[in-house]
This record gives sequence, structure tokens and C-alpha cells, in this order.
Amino acid sequence: MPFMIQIKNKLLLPFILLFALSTNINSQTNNLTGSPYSLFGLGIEGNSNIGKSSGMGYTGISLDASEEINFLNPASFATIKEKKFIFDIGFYTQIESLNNGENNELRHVTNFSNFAIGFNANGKYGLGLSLLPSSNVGYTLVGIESVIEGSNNESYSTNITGSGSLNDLRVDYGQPLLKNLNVGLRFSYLFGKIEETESVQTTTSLLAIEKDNYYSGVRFGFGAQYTFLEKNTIGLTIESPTSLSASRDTTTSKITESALTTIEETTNENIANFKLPLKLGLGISKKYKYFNFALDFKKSFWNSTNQSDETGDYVDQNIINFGTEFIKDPTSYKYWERINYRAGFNYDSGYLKVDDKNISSSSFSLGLGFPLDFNGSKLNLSYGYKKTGNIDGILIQENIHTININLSLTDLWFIKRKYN
Amino acid sequence: MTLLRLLCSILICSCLFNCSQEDEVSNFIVGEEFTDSNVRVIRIDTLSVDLSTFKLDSITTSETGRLLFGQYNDASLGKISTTPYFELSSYTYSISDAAVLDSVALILNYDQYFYNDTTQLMQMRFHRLNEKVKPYDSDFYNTSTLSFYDSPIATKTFAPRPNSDSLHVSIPFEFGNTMFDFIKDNTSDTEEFVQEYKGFTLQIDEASDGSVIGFSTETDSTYLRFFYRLSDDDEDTEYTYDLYITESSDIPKHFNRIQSDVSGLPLSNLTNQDYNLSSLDSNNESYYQSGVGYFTRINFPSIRKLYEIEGQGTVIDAKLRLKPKIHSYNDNLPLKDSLSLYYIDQNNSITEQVSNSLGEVMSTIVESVDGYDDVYYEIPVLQYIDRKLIQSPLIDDAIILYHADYNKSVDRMIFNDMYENEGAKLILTYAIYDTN
Repeated sequence: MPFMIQIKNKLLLPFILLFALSTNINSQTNNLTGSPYSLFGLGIEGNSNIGKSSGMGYTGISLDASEEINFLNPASFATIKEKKFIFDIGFYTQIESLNNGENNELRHVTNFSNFAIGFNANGKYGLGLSLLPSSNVGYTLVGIESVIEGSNNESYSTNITGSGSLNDLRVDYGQPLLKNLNVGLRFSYLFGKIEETESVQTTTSLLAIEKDNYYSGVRFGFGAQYTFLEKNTIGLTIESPTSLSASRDTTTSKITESALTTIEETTNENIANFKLPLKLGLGISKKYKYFNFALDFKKSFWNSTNQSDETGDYVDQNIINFGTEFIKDPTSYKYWERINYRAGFNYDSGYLKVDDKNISSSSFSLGLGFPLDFNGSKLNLSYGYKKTGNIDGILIQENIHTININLSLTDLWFIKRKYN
Repeated sequence: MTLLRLLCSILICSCLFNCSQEDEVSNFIVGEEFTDSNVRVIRIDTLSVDLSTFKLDSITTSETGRLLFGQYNDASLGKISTTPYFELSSYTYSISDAAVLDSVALILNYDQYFYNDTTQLMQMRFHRLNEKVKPYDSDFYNTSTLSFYDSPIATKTFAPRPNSDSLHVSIPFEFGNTMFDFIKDNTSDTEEFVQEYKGFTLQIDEASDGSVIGFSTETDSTYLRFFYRLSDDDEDTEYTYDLYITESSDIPKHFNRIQSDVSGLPLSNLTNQDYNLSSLDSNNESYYQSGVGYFTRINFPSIRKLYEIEGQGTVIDAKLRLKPKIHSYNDNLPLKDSLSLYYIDQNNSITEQVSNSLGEVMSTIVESVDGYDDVYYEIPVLQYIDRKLIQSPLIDDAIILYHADYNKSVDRMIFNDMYENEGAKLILTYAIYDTN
């Protein structure tokens, strides 16, 4: 058996690399989140499909990672058990209904949401490597009619589309510092491409401006988790503010008299950096009988980034998450008793203020975790319902139904070969 | 299931997921304020349009397939007269010695072209040339002429009927018979024949003021016909022998001389092709006349003012509206449809046709809803404007309107300039895409 694992290990590595590469390429392709709100800034902040957490209202600052990777706090990596290797992959599918008070529209998106590995080779520290979307852009605003200035009510229509994503490739490190106190560090490399295309169409001609914006930057994170009275944990996370350097390739072209002409092409133009704010997170969890309750509070200091968009301002964002998990008995021989039942909700004040209104959202989620073996491997399913914005004025209300599928596989690795 | 198998299936799954993901095109409309659109689209119709008239030194008029004949007076373009010159010959010159001539007639088949008032009678004189139909270089021009004997062979006064079959001009028997005998007795080939009968011309009476009409040069349309008899066993059989305008690949066998007398008119200032008569010096009008060679020269001297508009922009549509002078056209003086566009250089030499990806650029006639009195040409000029915006060094080139029939017709048009009746207007749609 150990020999087998050794072979597996050798076979797996190239696979993992290949997979990481392929997901990387895929996550660079167009991701329509479907949300018009994603036209602001770098899009909608990614709801990384964090297996367990997505069923618990995205709670997790104070939760451990003994069985499943927890992206919310690097300190949790210290809780990966010795010689354990966790592989985590997730997908989500979203059905979104948009409403501006007059019209309703349904959109549908399916996408990869994350890929991660976490392990603890020697029992001293846990390490993680993960790739997940940090934000997604996907909007289409079609058929905005305007009148040609100075004309006799002749109109033209504008179509704006945006797509792309910002990816987060991160390394997490967590280790115990004192008894009951784990600390962790995170290094994030953020990179991605966001494409914006605006086209203006008259009855005879078309003008199209394609902007490819490239962003990259690094960000550091710190986390701590302290367990007291055995069943209570508090967690703390800090993410450093950062400035993503940006460059832009622009192609402006027109179609007139059925001929396409490129008017202007610029590459590598420097554009304003995008600033990500300081983020603080505080969480507390308590185990009670078969339950585990968790409460998170997060604050992102967008105000101090001093950024604004064409129509919106960035404002400090507060997020409150609450979640709970129920499991009868993880070691039971009855399968149903080993199933995790999860529920949670959260409220997000939003970081955008449009028309003097915060684009806030609230959501609730339900989740199930089906054990695949006795090592901790799980198939996690969750359903979430989220409501964003409202239909006042120019705003849009979004009702989003999300189904997350997540696979978390745990195995024992790093066992020394017994036979040579 | 081993970990490896699971991973492989996940890999496949993920590929499927990613491949099946669709970028859905949406038509959700939200408020304009919601977008961060930076594009402004504006209409500009205040840039000036310069019209002037110039005259081509000469136009090739040989071998057009049309004998253009007639004369009319025009208040703006003077007296226009056009007279055809041609050689008549045959492919065979064998006529029986026993042939007896009955009569001779010149048959001219209308080709349906006419311009101006065909209700006026025309007087045609048929003359014999005293020099051969042979150009100095390879072509004849609207300015070319050949000398002819003063006294006409025949004269015909007639009411032109361009939509009927043909015009029949009787040739005096004496002249016809001499010619018939010459063919019978002294001619074996065309060279011998044209040595004697070098060619012919149709001249118009000086006082004519009516129309210009066209006759086809096809061998079965226009010919000099000899009607003769052969007597055989007391029975007469009638025959015909024809001379016609033969087609020649190298030496042209027919051409039209097209003249205009503009004395006393602003156009009389145009003595050189590179001289431009501004519309400001010709009653706020500019002129076009095919055959004679007047063209309206169009340019947009202030087009680079577009650069003064803040931000980066581009012209996405450009149309020139050109109004023919009211009452200058009617059923007798129709407007030419489908005019094509040509570039001319600073010397008014035609350089190339304006074309775009759809082919040649053509103008269209737009009629206003409230009647025939207010029509205008709509001319796509984006190609020219884009060219002017980037041209370096800037040269004084221009565009002209041009009809494919310009070397075998005498149609004229009068355009109002921008100061008269809003005659010339450049309508631009300009998109500003970068306000930085």
C-alpha cells in the first residue's frame, strides 16, 4: 500500500501541473458573471467556492482546515493533520435574474471556481497552493440609444461588453506558534486581463473600441487563530492594501461602407493602477454538541483607496457572515450520520455607491457534505440565493441562484518507503 | 475509486465544463447613466464645401459608337454644337457591271439618346470630307476637326424622333451615280475607295437651337445604301449595296466634334485645364457638362478643423448633398443618375476612381417628399475625407462627379453652392472616442 501511494505521488505531480496550467488558461478566458455591476472596477469580487464555507454563508475565519482547505485564513493551514494531502477543486453554476424595474432577464453561467492543494508534510507547518478567481467581469449592455448631437433626432446605439477575470495565485503558510495559537502568512500574486469593448453603431457605420487591460500585483496576508476552552476559536485576518499595476492595449476600428479600418492601435499604455484596500477580518466559532457555529465580520477600507468610477464611488465595505454545520458522528458506520449539513447567511454592505445608494447584497446558503471515505474526502454541494442591488433609479436588482460543486480529496502522503 | 481515477475524471469534467460554457449575448437595457461610455457621436454640417468649375482641355471622342448631332443654346453653358465625322467603306467592292442604280440614301438609326428640345426642327447638311479620317495621334478629340467641301451633298430638315427607327436622307442621283460607278469600275479595296471618298460629316445649321441626338454606328444601323437593278431575261431584280462605318482596331473611323460657345459667360474665363472658376465668380453655381468637358470640382478646405475638436475622433459617415439648381432640369434636361466619383489632382488631371470595399462609389438622387423641385445628389465622400485628414504633404486635390457617358453626350447640370439655396452641404457623423 505505501508503495502504491509512492507511485501515485509520482504520477500525480505532472498531472497536477498540467491541470494547474490548463485551469490557468481557462480562467483567463471570458467569464461572464452576468452582473452589470461587474463593470465597475475590476469586477465582482470572486465568491470563491470554498467547499464547506459556501454552504455556511462564506463563514470561515475561525474555522480549521483539518479536513478541508479553508481559504479564509492562512493560519488554518496549520491545522492540516500531519502527512495529510488535500486536493480541492470546485465549480459553480449560476442562474441570475436581472431586474431594472421594467425588464427581467435570465442569465446563466457555469465556471471553474478554484483549484487548490494543501498539505502538512512533517507535522510542523501546513502549506497551500491555490488558484482562484479574485474577481470576475462579465457584463453586456446592449442597445443603449442616444441621439447624435446636433442631428435631427437621429440616434445611434451603444453596446458595451466587458469580460475577464483577475486571478489569485497564492501560497499559504500556517504553523502553531503557541499552544492553541496558530498563525499564518499568505502571499498572493494577482494577475489577469479584463477586456472592455464599446461599440457605437449608426445606421451606416460602426465604431469599436477594444481595450485589453492587464493587471498584476502582489498582496500579503496575515492570519491567526486561537482556540480557547477547547471548543471556541477566534480568528483574525489582515490583508494588506495593494496597488495593481495596469497596462492597456487599445484597438480602435471602424466599419464604414462595409470596410473595416483600424484607426488607432496602442499597446502597453500605462493606465491608473487599481488599488485594493486593507481588509480586516474577525471571526469566532463555537462547537456545541453536533453543531459548529461561526460568525465572521469583515471590513474593507475602500474609502482610503480614493478611487471612483464614472458613475460610482468606492465606499468602505462591511460583511457579516453567519454559518453553522451539523454532523451527527464523523466516525459512524452509518453513512447518513457522517453527512454534514450546513446553513448560513451573510450581509454585504457593498463597496460601490451608485446614485448615492450602496449596492448591498444579502444571501443565504444551504449545503451538504458527503463523505467519500474515512480520510476526510468530501463531495460538497451547496445552494445559495443572493439578492444584490435594488430597482431604484438607474440601479438593477439581481437575484442570483448559485449551485456549488466542490470536491475535497484527502489522502495520506509523505510516508517513507519501507522497501527499497 | 482511487485518487488517480478521480483526478482524471475531474480533469475531463473540467474540460467539459469549460468548453460548454457559453458567452451569452444579452440584450438587457439599463440606463445610459449606468455605463461608462466615453464615446460621443456628433453631427457636423457646417464645414465649408468649395465648388468650382474647370474644363478638360480635350476629351477623346473617337469610336464611341454614337454619332452625336445637334445644337442648343443654354443660358449658363452657352451654345453647344456637335457634329460627327466618319469614314464609310465596305468589306467588298464587287458590283456587277450590268447593275443600274435606282437611288441612294443615307440611313441613320436613332440610338435613343437625345438632350433638350426635340420638338424643334433640325437642319442637317451631309458633306464630303477632303481629308482622310485619320488622327494626328491615335485618337480624335472633341476639339478635332477635318476639312470638308463647302457645298453639301444633301440637306435635310426634319423633326428628330429619337425613339423611332431611323432618319432617311436622300442623296442626289448624280452624286450617287458617280460614286456607284467609281465603286463598280475603279475600286478593288478600301484603300482605293477612301483615296477618293475620304469621309463624310454631318453639319448642323448655324441657327439651330433645339436638341442633340444620337445615331448608332452599328453597320446595320447607319449606312449609305445604293438601290440598284440587274436585268435578267426581261425580269428586273432589285439589289442594295451598302457602305457603312467599319470597325477598326487601330485607326478610329468616326468621332464627334463637340464645341461650345461661352462668350460673354463666366465660363469664358476657363482657357486652361488647371484654371478653376470658383462658384463665387459664376453666380454661386458650378457646372458639369459631358462632351464639352466641364466638371464641378469639389473640395472641403476646412476639413482639418475636425482636429480642433477636443479628443480623438474619427469620421464614421460623410455625405455630400449637392443640389442641382432649381428649374435647371426637366424632362428635356434630365438629371443624370448614378454619377461616379473620381479624384483629380492639383492640375485637374483625373487620377483614379473613388472606390470602397463595395466597389465604385456612386451618387444617388434623393427626391424630397414634397415634389420634384427639391432633389439633391447624395454622394458618399468618406473615402476622400479620410484621405484628406491624413494626407501629407497636403495637396490641392479634389473630387469630381463623372458620368460614364461623358465622352458621348452633352448633358449639363448646374449645382448651387453652399451660399445659394443650401446647395452644397457636407454632413459628417463624427465619433469622439477618447476624450483624454
